[in-house]
This record gives sequence, C-alpha cells and structure tokens, in this order.
Amino acid sequence: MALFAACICTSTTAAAQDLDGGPARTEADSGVPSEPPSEVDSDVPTEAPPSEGAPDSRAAPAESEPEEESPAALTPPHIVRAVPPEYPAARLSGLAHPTVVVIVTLDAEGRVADAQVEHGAGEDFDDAALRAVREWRFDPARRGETPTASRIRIAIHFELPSFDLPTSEAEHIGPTFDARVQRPPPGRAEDAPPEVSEPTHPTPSEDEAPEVGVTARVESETRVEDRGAGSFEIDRDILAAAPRREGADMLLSVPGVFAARAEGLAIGHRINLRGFDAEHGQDVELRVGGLPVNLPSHIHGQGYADVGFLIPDVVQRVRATEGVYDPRQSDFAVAGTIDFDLGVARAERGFRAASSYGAFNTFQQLLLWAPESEREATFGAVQYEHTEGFGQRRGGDRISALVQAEARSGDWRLRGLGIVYGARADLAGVLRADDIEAGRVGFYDTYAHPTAQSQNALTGRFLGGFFGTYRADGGSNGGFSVWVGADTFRLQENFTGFIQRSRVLPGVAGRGDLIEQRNQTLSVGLSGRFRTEAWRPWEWLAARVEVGLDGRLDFLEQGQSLLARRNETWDQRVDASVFGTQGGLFADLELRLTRHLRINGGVRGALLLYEVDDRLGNFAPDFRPRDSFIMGFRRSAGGATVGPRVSAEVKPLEWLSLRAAYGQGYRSPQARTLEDGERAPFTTVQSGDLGAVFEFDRVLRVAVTGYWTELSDDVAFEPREGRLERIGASRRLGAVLYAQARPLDWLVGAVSVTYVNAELLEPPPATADNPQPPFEPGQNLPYVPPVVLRADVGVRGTLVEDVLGESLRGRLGVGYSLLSPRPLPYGGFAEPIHLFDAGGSLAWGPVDLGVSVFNLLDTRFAAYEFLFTSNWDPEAIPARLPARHLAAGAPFSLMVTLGLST
Amino acid sequence: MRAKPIALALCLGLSASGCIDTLTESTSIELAVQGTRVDGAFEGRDGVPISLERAHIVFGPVYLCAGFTAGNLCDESLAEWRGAVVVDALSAEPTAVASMDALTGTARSYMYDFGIASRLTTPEMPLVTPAAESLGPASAVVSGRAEVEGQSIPFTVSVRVEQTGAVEQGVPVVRSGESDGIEQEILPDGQTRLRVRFDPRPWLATANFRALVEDAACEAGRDVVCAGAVEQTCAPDGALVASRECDANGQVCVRERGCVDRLELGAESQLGRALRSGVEAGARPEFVFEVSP
Repeated sequence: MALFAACICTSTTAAAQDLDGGPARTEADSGVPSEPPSEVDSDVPTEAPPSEGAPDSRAAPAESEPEEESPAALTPPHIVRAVPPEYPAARLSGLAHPTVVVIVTLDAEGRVADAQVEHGAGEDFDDAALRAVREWRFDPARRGETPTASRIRIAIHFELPSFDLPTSEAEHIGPTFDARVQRPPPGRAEDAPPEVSEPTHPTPSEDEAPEVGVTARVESETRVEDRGAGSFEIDRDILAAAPRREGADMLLSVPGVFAARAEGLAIGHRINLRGFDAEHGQDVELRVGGLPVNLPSHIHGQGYADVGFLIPDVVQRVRATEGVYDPRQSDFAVAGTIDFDLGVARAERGFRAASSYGAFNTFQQLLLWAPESEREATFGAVQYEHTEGFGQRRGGDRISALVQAEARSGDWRLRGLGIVYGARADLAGVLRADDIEAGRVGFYDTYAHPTAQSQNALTGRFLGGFFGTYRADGGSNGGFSVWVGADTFRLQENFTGFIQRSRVLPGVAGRGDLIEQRNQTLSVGLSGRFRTEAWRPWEWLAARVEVGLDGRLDFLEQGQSLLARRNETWDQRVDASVFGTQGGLFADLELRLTRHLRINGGVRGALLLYEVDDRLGNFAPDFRPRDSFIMGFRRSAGGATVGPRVSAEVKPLEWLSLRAAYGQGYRSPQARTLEDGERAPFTTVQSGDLGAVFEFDRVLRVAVTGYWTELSDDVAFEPREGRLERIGASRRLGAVLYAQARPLDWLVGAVSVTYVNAELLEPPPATADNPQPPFEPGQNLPYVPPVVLRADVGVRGTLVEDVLGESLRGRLGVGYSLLSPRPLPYGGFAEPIHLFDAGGSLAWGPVDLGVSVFNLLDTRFAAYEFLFTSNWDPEAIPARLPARHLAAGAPFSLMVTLGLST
Repeated sequence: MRAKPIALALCLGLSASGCIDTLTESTSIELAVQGTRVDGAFEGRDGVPISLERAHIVFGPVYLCAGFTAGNLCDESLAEWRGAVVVDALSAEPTAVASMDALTGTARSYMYDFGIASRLTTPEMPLVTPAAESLGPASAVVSGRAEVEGQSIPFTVSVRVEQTGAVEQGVPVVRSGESDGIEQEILPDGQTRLRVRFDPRPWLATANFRALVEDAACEAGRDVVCAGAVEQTCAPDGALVASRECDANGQVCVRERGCVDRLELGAESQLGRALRSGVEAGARPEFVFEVSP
C-alpha cells in the first residue's frame, strides 16, 4: 500500500567526505542500497507497512569512479538508524515545508561527532533537524576496508504536515515514520559524486562535501487545518520584525486585520478582519494557547475579547483561519479564527530581564524564564507597564503573567497554561471632529466636563487550562482540555456628552452621559476529540474521521448605569444575571485521493441555553401602577444550529495548491436580548473561499484568495448605550493577497493586501421609535475599510564575529499598515490611516539594547471613528445632527529597551 | 507622505467605480424666512378689526426630523440650524438666514424654538439667543391697533415663549405632529431650499380686545372706570370724583387703566397669553421647500 497525500516527507540527502580527503564512492551511484533504518522513534509508530517503501527503503549511495578505487577506494557511510526529525510543534499548523541542510561529522565508528546547520530554515526547524541527526547511526565511511571518519551533508526536507489539534497540542503528535531511504531524484545536487574529506572546518563548503541522496518518508496522522487559501501562519521572525507596543499588536500582521486600542489601555482592541468590523471580537474567534478568549454576552459587546495580556516575547506565531471551514471553529468564528501559539524558541531560552522606557513616561519591565532543558512550550513570563499616556487621561498600569508547562508521559503529552491579567487606565473618550477643527478641544485632549474627566476602565482576567493529547498505535489520536476563566470588567465612558435622560427618575436629565458598565464572568469549559487511524480500502484512498465535542458554562453578572459627578447614579439601564450553557459537536471526514487531492467534509452543531434574571425587567413607571407587580423579568431561551464545512485541495504541482472551501458558522446571541421561550436566534454566516497557494520551500509563499461571506444579522456600535445593536443582514465580497519571503537567511518580509466590498442587505426598517435609521439597504457597511494593507520587513544577523570574545548581533525591522477611508453612517468617510513603525537592536553577549519607534511619521490619525449625535456643550443649543467623533491614535513615540539574557 | 495620496486615490477610485455606496449623504439646506404683507385691518376675535404695525418673531433653532412626529423621536435630526433670527412677519420679502446642516433623506416633521431654548443640563436657565435678546428679551413683539367700540386702541404685546414642561426639558417648544407634518425629500448637494413663511394674523386670533374697553360707571371698589372713551375716577364709596375725555389728548380709555397713550402688555396679560398661544399652538408657519434645478 502506498503512502500518499497525507505524508510528511523527510528527505535526507547525504554527501560524504572521508578524513583523508580522497575521492569518494557512493552506493547511490552504483545503485546499491544502503541499510534500512533499524530504529524509529517509539513516539511515532509506523503507519505504513514495511512493503510500502521496500524498493527504496535503503540508502542510495553514489557510485564512485572505478579508476579511483585503487589504491584505497572510499566507501561513503551508510545510514543504519535514522530517527525521523520531529516536525516542530508550532509549525504543525503551518504551511511551510522547508529544507535544512546539516553538515554531519562522523567518527570512524559511524557515530555523529558533530552536526552543524549549513543552511537553516528557522530555529525550530534547525533544532528539530539537529536533534534528529544526532541520533542517527551510520556504517562508517571506509577507505578500503578501514573505517574512517567522514563528513556528510544531509538535507532534511520538512513536508507540510497537517493539524489535528491546536498547535500546542499538536506538538504531541509526532509524524509517523516510514523509514525508507531513497535514491534522490535525478538532476538534483544529491547526485553529484561525493567526496570524502577531513572535517577540518565545522561547516565545510559544498565543494568539500557534495551530497548523496537519502529520503526518509514520514506520514502523519495529523489533520489539515488550513482548509481554505485564507489560512495564514505568521511566524515569529515576521512578528518580531517590526516593533510592537504589546503582544496584541501582532494581530496587525494577519492579512486583512487592523486592530487598534481605540478606547484605552484597559479596553480590548477594536478589530477589523476581512471586511468585518469585529468590534472587540464579536466576529473573530480568538484563542491563546488553546484557551478561548471571547466572552459571550459581555456587556460591552458580544464576544468581547481583550488579548492585552499577551507578552510579545512568548508569542511564537499567530495562526489565522479566515473563513469558517473547519468544524472545530466555534462561537464567534464569523470572519475567522485567530490563534496565538505561546512558547519560547530554543535560541531564546533561559532567563531574560528587559526594561523599557520611553515616550509619555512609559515604563515596561519584563521577566521571562524559559528553562533551557525544557520544551519550547514551557516558560513563565510576567510583564508590568506603567504609562502616563499620550495626551490627556491616558495613563494606566497593567500587569500580565503567563505560565505554561509541558511534559510527556508515555503516549500522552500534557500541558498546563495559566494567565493572569489586570489593568486600570484613565480614558480620554471620544471627541467631536468639529470641536477639534474649531479648536475647542485638542486632538489628544479630552473634554473638561467632570463626566469626561471621570472616564476610566478596569479589567482583570484569569484563564487556566489543562490540555492532554495522546496517540495510539496505528495512528489514531485524541485529546482533551479543561479550562476555567474569571473576568471582571468595569468601564466608565461618556460617548455622547449631555443628551441622556433618566428612565428611573422622571424629569432628571442632562447630568452627563457617563455610562458605567460592569461585567463579571465565571466560565468553565472542556473539549475532547478523537481521530481515527486511516482506513485504506484502496491504495489511492485514505479516509479518516474525527469527532469532537466542546462545551462551556458562563455565569455573568452585569449592569449598566449612568453616573454623574461624584459617582452619583442617576439612571439604571441594566441589572442582570445570565447563566449560559453552550455545547458543540462536530465530525470531520477526511479523504485523500492520491497525493494530489484532498477533500474534507464535516458538520458542526451547537446548542445554546440561557437563563436571564433581568432585575430591571418590566420597568414602566409611567404606565403601570407601581403596586401591581414587582419589577423584574426572569426568562429562559435556547436554540440550536447545525452547519456544514467542506473543503478541497488539489495539488497538481509540488509548489502549487488550489483550494476551495465552503462553510457555515455562527455567533451566539446577546442573552439579554432574548425573550422568554424564544428560539435563540443565532447569527449565522456562510462563507466561501476560492484560491491558490504557491510555495517554494521556506523562501517564498504566496497565497491569493477570493471570498464571499453572508451574515444573517450584523451588528454595529450604538454609542448612546455604549454597546452593539443589530443592523440586519450583510454580505462581503473580497480578495486577499499575501506573500511571505525569506530570500536570505538574514532577511524576511511579508505583505498582505485585502480588498472587500461589504454591503448591508436588510437593515431594520424605520419605525416610530427609530424613524431615521442610519442604515439603508445596499449601503456599504459603516466602519469597514475597503482596503487593508500590511507590510513587515526585518533583517537580522551577526555584525561582528568577535568583539571582546562575543559576537555583535543586530536587528532592524519596519512595519507599515494602511487602512483605507472607511464609510461612516450617513455617508461620511473616515480618514485613511497609514502607520510606520520601525525598530532595531544590538546584542552583545548577554546584553541587548533596542530602540522602537512607533508612528514614525507622527501621523495624526483616528484609531477609531464614529458618527452619532452628541452634545458636548451643555451651555449651547444642543446639536442633534449625527456628527463625526474620533478616538485619537498614538502619536510618534520612542522606547528604549535594555535587556539581559542568560 | 506618499502613501496618503495613493490610498486616497485608491479609495476614491473604488468609490467612483461604484464599489463604495454610502447612500445617505451630508448636504445642506439654504434657509430663508419671510412674513406676510398685511394691508389694512383684519378681523380678530368677535370681529374686532386689528391692524398691525409691527410683528416681530424670533425663529430658531430649528430641526427637521425623519419621524412623523418630532419631539422625543427627534433625538437625531435630519437637518438643523442652531441659530435664531428675528423675522419681520409683515415683510413678504424672503430673507436668507443660514445654511442648515443636513443629511439626505425624507423630512417628515420639524421642531423649533422662538429664540429661547431649553437646556437639558440647566432647565431653570434657558438659553436666550442674541436675537431674542434684541427683542427685549422676548420671542415675539406685536404692535398695532384694535378698533373696539369706537376706540382705536394702540397696543404692543411682548412675550417669551419657552419650554416649561419638566419632562420636556431640552426639547423645543414647537414640535409638529402627524397632522401638521411635512413630507420632503432632502436632496444632496444643497439642492433643497427651505423658506419658512409666517403670517402674524392668526397670532392674536384669541386676543379679546373687547375686554379692554367698557362703558361703565363708578362703583364701590373700583378706582378707575371707562365710560366709553371717558375716564372716570372713583371714590372708595363709588362716587364719581373726576372725569376726562381721553381722546382729547389722543389717548384711549382702557379698562382698569383709564386714559393711556398706548397699551403695553407683557406675557402675563390676557393679550400676552393669547399671543403666546397663537405663536406656539396656533397656526404654524408654512414650511415651503424648493428644489434647485
């Protein structure tokens, strides 16, 4: 039975030089196979029967020239045991299948005396390759009959694997190793006659160590996670190219994403993704290390997700699945899913302390400990930040601690992750654009009214999870996770100035629209899944099925009030408890028909149940006698949704992948909006992607995709209530172009361009209560930028090999973001945003000194714009016409970082 | 910066290609006011001929709304002018006032004040516009003559019209309902013009000028009575003390006041209440929309 599509191929090509430097003879040339591998990693059971690789399960040594055999013909070393390299865990989601070239020095007994990377593909791949080859055993090279030391070049090719778990879990699933050794394909460098030489240099030149070909083929039972062409993995080298104010800013490098902390330090980013104004996460499923971040039915917005706890130094990569094509994608995966993988690469492990100081009296302190003896996923980090903030009322403090540990036990890989985060900040709020233009208020200022000067926010969060994955013989695998989360959120923000009237106290009005929102959530959840081993009725077909479940319980306490100066409450809008239960089931069938075609078809269903204790329900003081009932409205509601998710991939060429995908996703409702017994209305989304991925090893990867999504019920920000309100169905048509390039070892770059036409289909009609709805059928969705562009470029390398015994290393990087003008309600357009960030650092021994510059051109920009009615001059005749409001983005700022690493 | 014009060009290109459609647009409305030329006298209550010499009213701020009824349902307006102007309601000549900020859409109602606006934050201290200040401060000042019982009574009435309802603080005084609403499409590019035409004649429709005159004789408890155009001064016991012909001095005899050159009345007078009622709840000005070609 042949192995096909699902294989990871580890191509090992070897060249040999003996210590004497004499001419080499390889068995590859003579057609004599090498010894088959005698040992494989016990963690990676062989899925293919031995017969699969029979013809090529031996080394393919090169043939020597006959006239050079005497007087002492050199026979190159033979592989006798080949341990397969482990595909780096964090890359399992990935789209890369690079080649790492390793120079291996063998002693006269065939043991690996030294191994050095000659051509790397990133630290994790390099480490994986080195770890593997150090375990290899060889029949030594021989001059005549005498064993001799030699040096060979081994090119290890990592073929793109597939996922079966979030990366951090998937690391557990090592590839199944079909230990075969093949003759390299003709015409490749591996065919060149090898030479044997004395390993006088750690990394000999190619002339000294030509390659012979050895191919070891590995198959993984891991799953495909990049279903459509809109799946992207942004590795740490790209994420670290440009400076980041905080870990959450890494979102900027995801194609189609623009994220800005528009409201303040303690409030989550506002995120745009592929034409979705996802607000604080309502349309984007966000996960960190496998932990769900979105909070259902949050008072500040459905799916509220604040990833402010991320510490840049421990974010290994960001994976974005744009579209809804994977049955594992759950609530809020409307525009897609973004995963942050945590870990510390081997080269960066150890203890690190870094202090940063810069603009606006901002101070950051990082402490990071990643034991060198532990796996990449194991680390502990804490970061504290204090800032006075740019402009007025933007100061704040925050602290974030992340601890993750991973261990193996037999077939199990276990991982624990804990996150603690707290932040408090003053908020500047929003300003009317006409007030700025008239000079009544400065761009970076805030209004002088007490209810504007009282704006602030506090947030605290704990997330903890325990993850386990296992792999059984035969390739089946499974896993589980349990997690718990606690969140507290309090916001005081005034969007509209002085237009509110009390509903509780008739006749009381105009005391300032300082909205207080409170939300506390306690959540517990679990997940589990099982993936079968492959079923192979025919040689050209392999089928696997994965089934899984997930669920969560959420206990929410939330309230919304209006506050006046001295914190007097003068109106009460929300006082409620919510208990939500959510369960999901999914199944996913994977068919691989030859190595050129893959089809995935699955389904996901979800059930939601809510109980709401609305303590202000039935409040109607003007219409009912007060003694006829007791205020309050308790209710329950539930609903279910089921949707398909299918995808197909055709690989006509090794470097070309054509992909099509269709799926239906959903977003849960805001619980408080449900009536008693209401069939809980899910917001459903349909999406389709059609695209292609061109990939040339790790050097260049280009993805282009066109997409369509249709949403049953969109929402938009309602400033009078400071929360999201429904605005009806919407549709998006767009395209994404993304390119990653690593043309040189020291150079990396990525660029993405996303275009979308986002159209509102069925906004709510005018009613007596809302005679002038701001949205009309056919209009472009407000706040959605038609074009989003992002570019990251970074260079790094050794500047001077030896400065007082240590090398001097340098790094430079820039990032550029463009957000085109966004349509606003009532026809306005927000100004375009374009931002340059740049940074660089020098490292010498354990010390590094870096400079980061944000908003290099000091562009004055609005991090977010709104259009609504406000009145910020209580002495003047009130304005009732919707007006532009904006939240200022950060101006030019500079930070200097001094780090110490051991 | 180079990127900015590129981005703008890109987005303008998208807009021009029809890829971006925002439908509702910002626009403006040229606002003008005019009065009504009133030649000679017109009939007031009980057929009293009234001739006007002055009819000034303060108009503004004014809002156009999308709902069929204004008021609380006009928290967001479709057009607004937050100024105020003194309108000569006897001049038929339109006077350009201002350019209203507006959005395209259908206006179905309106609301406005008479130069004195209630503030949500300090209802006890309404905002008096300069226009209203120039009238006294007042919202309307009307002068004229009423021909009653053979006397031609010159009068001047001045009133403040302002929001008094506690639950309506911050809301303009006049809010149109479904019966007196409008239906006008507000077009882009300032194509829509609005002319508000006032007719002062109905303002005094409920004014009881006959109550100003009498043909009485002295009686106990009254100091002064009018016997037609003759002022009689009375003793406490009701005896006639003195009398004089008012018209001999070009004056009129007004009940309780006797001979006066001119009747000056405020908001609390019967005429003042009538005038306030007339401008606030009586016949509304005509909102005339015109569309530029």
